[in-house]
Amino acid sequence: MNSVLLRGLVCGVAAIGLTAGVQAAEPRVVTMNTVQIFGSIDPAKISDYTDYMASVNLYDGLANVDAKGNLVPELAASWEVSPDATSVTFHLRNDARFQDGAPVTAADVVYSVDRLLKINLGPANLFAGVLKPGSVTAIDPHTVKFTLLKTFSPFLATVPAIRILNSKLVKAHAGADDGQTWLSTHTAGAGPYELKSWQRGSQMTIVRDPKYYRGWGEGAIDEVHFIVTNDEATVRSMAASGELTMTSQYQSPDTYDQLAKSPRFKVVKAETAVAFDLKVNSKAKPTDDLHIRKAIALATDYDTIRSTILPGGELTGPLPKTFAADYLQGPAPKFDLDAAKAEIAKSGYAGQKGIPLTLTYVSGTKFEEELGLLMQSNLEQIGFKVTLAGEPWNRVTEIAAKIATTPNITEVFFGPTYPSPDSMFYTEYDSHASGTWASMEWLQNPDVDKLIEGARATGDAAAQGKLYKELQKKLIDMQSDVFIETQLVRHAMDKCLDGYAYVPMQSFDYAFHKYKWTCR
Amino acid sequence: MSAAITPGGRRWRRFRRNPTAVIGLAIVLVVLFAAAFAPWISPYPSHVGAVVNFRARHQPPSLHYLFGTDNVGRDIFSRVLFGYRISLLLAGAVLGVAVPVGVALGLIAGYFGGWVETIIMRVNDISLAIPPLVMALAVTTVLTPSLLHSMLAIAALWWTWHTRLIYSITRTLRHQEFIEAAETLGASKLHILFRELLPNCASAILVKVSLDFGFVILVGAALSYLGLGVQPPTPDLGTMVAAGADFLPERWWEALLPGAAILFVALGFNLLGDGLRDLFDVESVR
Repeated sequence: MNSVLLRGLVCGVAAIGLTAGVQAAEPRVVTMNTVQIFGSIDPAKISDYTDYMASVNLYDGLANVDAKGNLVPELAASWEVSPDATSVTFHLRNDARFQDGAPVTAADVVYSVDRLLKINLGPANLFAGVLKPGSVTAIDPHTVKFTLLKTFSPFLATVPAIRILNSKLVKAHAGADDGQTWLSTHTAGAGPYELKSWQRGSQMTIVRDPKYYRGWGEGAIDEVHFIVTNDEATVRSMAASGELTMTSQYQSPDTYDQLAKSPRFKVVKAETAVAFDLKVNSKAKPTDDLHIRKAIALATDYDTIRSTILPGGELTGPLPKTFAADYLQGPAPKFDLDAAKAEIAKSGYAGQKGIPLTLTYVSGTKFEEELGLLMQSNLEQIGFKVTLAGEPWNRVTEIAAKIATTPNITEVFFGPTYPSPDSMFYTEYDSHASGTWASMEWLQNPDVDKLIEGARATGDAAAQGKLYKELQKKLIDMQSDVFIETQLVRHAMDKCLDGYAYVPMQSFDYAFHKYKWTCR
Repeated sequence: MSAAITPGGRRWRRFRRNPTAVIGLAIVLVVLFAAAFAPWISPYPSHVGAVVNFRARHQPPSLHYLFGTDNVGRDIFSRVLFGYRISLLLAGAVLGVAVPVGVALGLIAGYFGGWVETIIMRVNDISLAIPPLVMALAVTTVLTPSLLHSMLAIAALWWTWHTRLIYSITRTLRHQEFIEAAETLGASKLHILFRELLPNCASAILVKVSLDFGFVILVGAALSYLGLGVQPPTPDLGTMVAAGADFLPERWWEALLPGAAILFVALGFNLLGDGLRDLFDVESVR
């Protein structure tokens, strides 16, 4: 007992001595909270925002995305698209290196894509029917050619989702499952940061690779420490104690207001392409009735939502303004309970008292609950009986699997996972997506499918824009959703931290290579 | 009628001389009154339903809003009064199921002994080893969160304490002369269990139940604090504390005052139970 105590004491003293010794070169650490755990760091399995957040730091892709949604070179220095838009040739940088020092070659790209398609999870759904094993061939060590199975116009936009693996390293640890076991806890990428520690469910730490091939600028961030918590009080107290450098983008408006007052923090804002919708189940009673869907939209108090509950940008239809070329400005949504009553009177439920509706939101998210209560209050005034249910996120993904379990109304955020309108339309409204949380409208409408597929199959941007506009008009007319607002992304950040800019591809704005520390 | 010589009157006097017990009784009466007459005495009875008032959100306590308002502008005081209804309903329902079952099993185990006792008491031991909150979490996670399921989950383990208590009392009573006399006279088992043994356990049960009321309310509040109880907008004290905790410490009233309301009712039942224990000299109740 005594000796244990003594040893602890000695260790403590040694630790103090150690920190005093390295104080001279204090690493620049950014501590950020995430509201959910990191599910997977295997590039073939990443799907949600935290997965991508880890991946954009630990791995590099052939190309990256800038704030306007344009493709910019990363591992590939340049690329050419064939005239018929069915093949793309990438030229790799000569100096590109993996974290272990091995050069990045065409063989690594081929291996990464084939492995992704074979495992068929995560980003693989982007390439279904577009690539098959063997579609990617190495022409020479620094040139790689993608031959598409069909014309697929959004293809280039999906390329950043392919994270390139160090094929030699993975093969050495492949085991019987293509390295899935090994890559679930190790990394083998060319990214600017290396995995230092990861406790699922609580935290992840990544450290800067000083030998990163694209080099580092002044004030590079040495270490990023992600802490998993969605508890507002915890986030605020961590900010107050100086532990937190940057909040997640999902804090409550209250938290941002308070941190904005603190001398240490600034709040950065950006309008995003993430749409906040009430997804209305078009196959369940009573929301299978167009007039009921319209009544719900008219009973939505947009002003209160945008001014008080969750400030956001304008959204008039299924597509956010970010995609300017293909955007169709819809009629401005309005809050009008009398008009809502008139719609009910036109519906098959006219005269009925207490029309039952279910409304689901993600539990623990303050503003979603507030919005739920607001909707309930207004809808009950015009003759609905609303059952509210707060469900944890994983449960929401489960109930989305069947029409019968999908609630009448679900509050959902959906943003593009690749910078193309296709990412919004295909994932939310195409029949192929039925049964996923992004597609809780259950449209299954052949006309909608035809428009989406049509736009995918044409390489002509003008024709594509025309199809997308027609599609938006159709979705607005059928009131597929209540379009509330685009998410205004906000982060409270230490005034010394710079580099946040919204990128219309999931979590690509959290590539810390772009960030810098501006104080001494 | 001279109160001084009836046993009831003597007890009431002893009870009155115990100030904590009187305070406990007063608190319990206040809470019962508040719950029973909530629709008439609460200033904003509509605030328990689907009502929001975003213009009045986050108001600190004032004469208008005694306990302040919450994040959607509802009066917390009104919601606390209605919240007591849910708490009392929960405790009443849980104990209404758990106590009769627990007492009956305790009587049977204590009186019959043998393999009946072995089975009942070993199952009891196993059940006692499961932490009630963990069990309740498991049940409400498998089923959907609702008031009924919280009740089920708590009741599923609450009988054990009553069984244990009644079992130990019955064990000491079963070889006493009045039981043996009843047996010799050919009284039926049912008569002995419920007419001879049960009345002798009554005071212990009363004390235990009044102590338990507070505990069940606390467990219920803990469950709804974790989001496994009543669903919005129904007011529930635990849910209110959880919702308000996000606004600590600046908007302290949103979590602290509903929390104080839980403390108040739990304290009331505890003091009352303590007082009753002294009154009846029931040492076996913890």
